[in-house]
Amino acid sequence: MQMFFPLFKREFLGYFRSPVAYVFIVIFLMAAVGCTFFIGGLFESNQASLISFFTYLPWLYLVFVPAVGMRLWAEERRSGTIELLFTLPVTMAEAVLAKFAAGWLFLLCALGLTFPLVLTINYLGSPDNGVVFASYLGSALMAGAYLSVACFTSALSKNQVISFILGVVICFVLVLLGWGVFTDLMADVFPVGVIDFISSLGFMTHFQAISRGLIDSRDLLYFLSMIGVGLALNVAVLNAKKAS
Amino acid sequence: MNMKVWAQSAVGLLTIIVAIVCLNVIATKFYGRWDVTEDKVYSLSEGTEKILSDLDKDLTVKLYFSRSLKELPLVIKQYATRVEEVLKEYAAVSDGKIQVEVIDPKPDTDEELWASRYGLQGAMLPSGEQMYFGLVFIHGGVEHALPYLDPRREEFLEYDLSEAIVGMFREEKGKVGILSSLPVMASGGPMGGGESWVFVTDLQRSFDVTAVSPDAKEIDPTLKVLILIHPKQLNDQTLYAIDQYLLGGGRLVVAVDPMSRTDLAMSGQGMMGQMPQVSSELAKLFEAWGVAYNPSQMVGDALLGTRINAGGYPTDYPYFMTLGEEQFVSESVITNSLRQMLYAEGGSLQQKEGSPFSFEPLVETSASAGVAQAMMAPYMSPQDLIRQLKVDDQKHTLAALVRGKFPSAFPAGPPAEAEVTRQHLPEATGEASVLIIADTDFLADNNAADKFRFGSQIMIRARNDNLNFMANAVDFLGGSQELISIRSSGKVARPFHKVAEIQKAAQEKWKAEEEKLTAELQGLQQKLSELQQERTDGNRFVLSAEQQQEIDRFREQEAEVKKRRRIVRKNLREDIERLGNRLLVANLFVVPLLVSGFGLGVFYRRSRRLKKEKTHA
Repeated sequence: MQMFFPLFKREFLGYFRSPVAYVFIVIFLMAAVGCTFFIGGLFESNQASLISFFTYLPWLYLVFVPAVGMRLWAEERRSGTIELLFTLPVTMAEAVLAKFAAGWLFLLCALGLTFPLVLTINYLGSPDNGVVFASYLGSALMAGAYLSVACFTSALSKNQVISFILGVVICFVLVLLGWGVFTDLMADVFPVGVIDFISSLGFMTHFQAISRGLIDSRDLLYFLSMIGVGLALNVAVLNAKKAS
Repeated sequence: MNMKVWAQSAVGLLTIIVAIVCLNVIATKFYGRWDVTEDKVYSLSEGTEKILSDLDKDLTVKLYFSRSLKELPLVIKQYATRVEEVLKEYAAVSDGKIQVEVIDPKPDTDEELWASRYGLQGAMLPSGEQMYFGLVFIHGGVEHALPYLDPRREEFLEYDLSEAIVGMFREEKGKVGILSSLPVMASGGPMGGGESWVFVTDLQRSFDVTAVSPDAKEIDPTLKVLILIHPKQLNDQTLYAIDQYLLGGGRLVVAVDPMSRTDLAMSGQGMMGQMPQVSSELAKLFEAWGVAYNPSQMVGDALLGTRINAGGYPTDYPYFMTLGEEQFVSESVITNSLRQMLYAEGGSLQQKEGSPFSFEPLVETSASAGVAQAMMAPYMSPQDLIRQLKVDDQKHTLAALVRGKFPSAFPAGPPAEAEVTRQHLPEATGEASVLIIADTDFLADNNAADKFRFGSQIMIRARNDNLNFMANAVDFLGGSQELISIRSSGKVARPFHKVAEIQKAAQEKWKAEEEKLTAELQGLQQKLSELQQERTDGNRFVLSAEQQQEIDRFREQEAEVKKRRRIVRKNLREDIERLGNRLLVANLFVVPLLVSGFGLGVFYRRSRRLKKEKTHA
């Protein structure tokens, strides 16, 4: 596992050498704050909670996370630097993990920079900071789950745009699965047991559960599992491509 | 070659996925939950935990929920999941004593038959299907059902469940006695006495309530709580009996009153020349407990006045106080969850100077209260009484909990001619507790609840928390403190303090102005209606030119004043809007600007370095 840290460091710092990262963070923050204040009506709600922020976060991630993940593998494969990478004494798993971890840390930085919102509601009133903490925890895990999907789609194609679109589509399906409106629609077609199972695969169900303030190990495991599956698929695809 | 590698990675992938799935399946049995909310909304409260740990009998709870129905509203489905989770918590905390069964009573099955046999009510969904959502506790032959679990009662879920459990195993209801000069309990007298007051019926759900005679010679020591209502001129023997009951470990709830309207209504508005005595006191005993109370004074608070119809004019009457959350001392379990009470021409309590005992105010007025002579109340008009109010700018205590090792109010022993069977107690054997409230009218049916007919039944709906105050007080003193602590745990709203502060400050600033304008407006409107009156009284349809002119003039003035008032109200909101805008800008731009600045800084340094490298090359 020795190669993990150098790789991880290189990837992570690499973000900050590109102007894209800064643009990304700025747009993400402004979109998040915009949704919170304008669409979510934080100030008008007169409730000291960040529910108006976390309601829109899954949808923001839907677009932003694949944007972060799309270049992770597609770029390397297109420019050929991936060959260089594998001349190094690094296993596929290490490489995948390192890139994923770097991307995840980057996303966590972006998430962390939303801290003015926390300061704001603490200034305006006295929110339940336990719930705020739990919501941020859920967001962090959910970002990881989204990212693992994006990494996987990034490995599938050399073209960043294609991986972006694929990433968005798959994430969209995963979000939809747990979304109340969608499950209600499906109710007419499938029996209830099937629907409950399907919605337990979706991001929203587990994210909302954690955000309530009741941290259930099963929800934590869900996100870690999704990340695991995404990364496993990532490794498999890269191995397959490498072989061919 | 290719195939082998493919197969290998496929197998590897599959193994991982299977492993993950297995892990998740295992997790459904072995899992942990952490409630990180500040209010511990998802954990059981201490009261329930105590009840469950004290539970020594096995209990089965069957939750019937028609989960498989198609058209179930999401709210109900989510609530059902929550109820199931809470029941599982109960089972977990009860150390196996409670078994939970979740049943889906599909139509035309045995389960459905059992559901209705247990008394569960089915609700008809718009699709025509019958939905069951209720539960039943079973122990041996005893059953207690909660026929329908209403999502709107979510905050009381824990209370309802714990109360059901406690109620199931209560061997006998605790005994509570009421000694009252007002006819609060139904008397089966020859005239076919009246019904019990609502608060009595309420108490009878959890306690065995008996009437105690106002000239009782002895108080049954097995009474958990003795409630004294409007004690008027009790004789020494009875006072002694109460004193000894308290010192021997009994608990008291005392409701005295400087001005009892109920009493007044009963004793008639006075025979000529004789003023009815409608106040009550317990001076001798209060003295021993370090409590000061003036039975000739009633408390008024202009800020808390209630609107009454006084001779056709709606007036804010300061002696009928509508008490809000700020008036309840939140630390006490008795008042913690109360939201509103009506306090009708009552008095105030104080701790006697130098009293060594504990005096805990439970209910207070605002800081702009005052007092008036209670004696005058039956004879003066509300407006006159309002003028009688002498504001002393102090918070008056309306109800308090007094505790301590009280001395006997009869230090020299039992009064002469007393028939005493027990040894005289000169002092309380342990810490005695008395809850005193200086009003009795708040318990009257028409002040506490609305009664209405529902077919052949009379339904009672509490209008405020008056009944809850009494129930909490008796529960607290009677020992079921666990239930009260559960009663208090509910959802907590978290509004913006800052906004409220600004609103208040702005209101102070503009209140005077707005009041002036509103008064002006009212004056104008009254004038206008007077003019209209003239018109319909005198010349039916024809107006003199002058009258018309006057009316027009007043209408103009009215519009002007309304406009001015609108401006004032707008100013009230401006400060808040400004705050909102400032926060929006701060959130939207500060960090993004910092990030951009940081990014530009990084690039600037890099381009400088590159330039340097270039020039050196």
